[in-house]
Amino acid sequence: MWIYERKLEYPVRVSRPDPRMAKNIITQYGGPDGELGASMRYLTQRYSMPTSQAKAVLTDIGTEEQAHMEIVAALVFNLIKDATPEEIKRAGLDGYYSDHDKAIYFVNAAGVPWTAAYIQSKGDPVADLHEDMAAEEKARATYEYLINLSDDPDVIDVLRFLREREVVHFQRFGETLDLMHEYLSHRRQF
Amino acid sequence: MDRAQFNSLLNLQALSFTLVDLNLYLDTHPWDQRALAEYNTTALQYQACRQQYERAYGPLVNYGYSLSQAPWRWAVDPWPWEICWGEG
Amino acid sequence: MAQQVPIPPCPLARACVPFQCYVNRLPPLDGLKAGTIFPELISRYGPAERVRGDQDGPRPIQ
Repeated sequence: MWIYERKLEYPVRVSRPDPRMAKNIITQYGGPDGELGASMRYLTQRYSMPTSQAKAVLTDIGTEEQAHMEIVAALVFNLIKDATPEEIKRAGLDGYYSDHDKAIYFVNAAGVPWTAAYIQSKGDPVADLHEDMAAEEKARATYEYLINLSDDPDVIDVLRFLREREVVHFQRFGETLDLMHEYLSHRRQF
Repeated sequence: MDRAQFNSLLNLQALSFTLVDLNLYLDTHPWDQRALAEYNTTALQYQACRQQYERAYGPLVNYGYSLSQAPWRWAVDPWPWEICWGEG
Repeated sequence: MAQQVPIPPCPLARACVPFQCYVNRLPPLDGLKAGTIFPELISRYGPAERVRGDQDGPRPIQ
């Protein structure tokens, strides 16, 4: 069961429209290494995990990723909400605008819609945890690319926060992998 | 959103974030009693601050996790993505 | 200086991530701005001139 708290995990400030940057940032909403994929992956893998510890980590990080989706959506929403159709066209966001106006949708930076093919739920806990660690590194790298592209200090500040969270999540999944190996080796001894 | 409300909300965000990070830490270090004590202390602090915020500005959670003043204060603006910090 | 725990050798064909040893945590607002309350997990990114100063990021309005 989920409860929604009406506050962002991290405050967002956008001082001027930037539909070009929004077009890039939206990839962390609906792209291959974005927060939706991360959230769905962890919240789905948790069902078949053999230890309560792993179920807790996947539930909790999966839930935090939902909060990150909200932050990314808030960034994109505020970056395009005051943009004129001219600015949208100049930013190359007119294709997206034609289908969605200024609404939020699950696409990557090139407009490709999200797919469950971005995630795996292999059932093998070691395989799943490795996928999770890789996902965190891919997300971290993506935030670095977005930071490279932006010149707005407020936007960069939010991207930095989200990037650091990926580092912490990687650490937790790594610890969980270690605990899982320990559990599996004890189980094998019978 | 006025200055007092913003500062109050920022304080909540900071406390809440401490709890998220401690929570994830405890998920892989369940035996760390010191971290657990800090989690519980911070949680009490957070709950007190949140109740104070909600008395002034309305509920932050629904489905019965918080009470609402009249008229129903949940379905109101602004929503979190509509708040840009630093604005008057 | 964070307390160092000796890392046991990692077996072959296995990925190993050392366990974090919690020593101190940042105050809540500093932790929020850093993206973690644990200083040993902070990983900086960006050229020097882009590294955030104390006056950047969300802060209470005076």
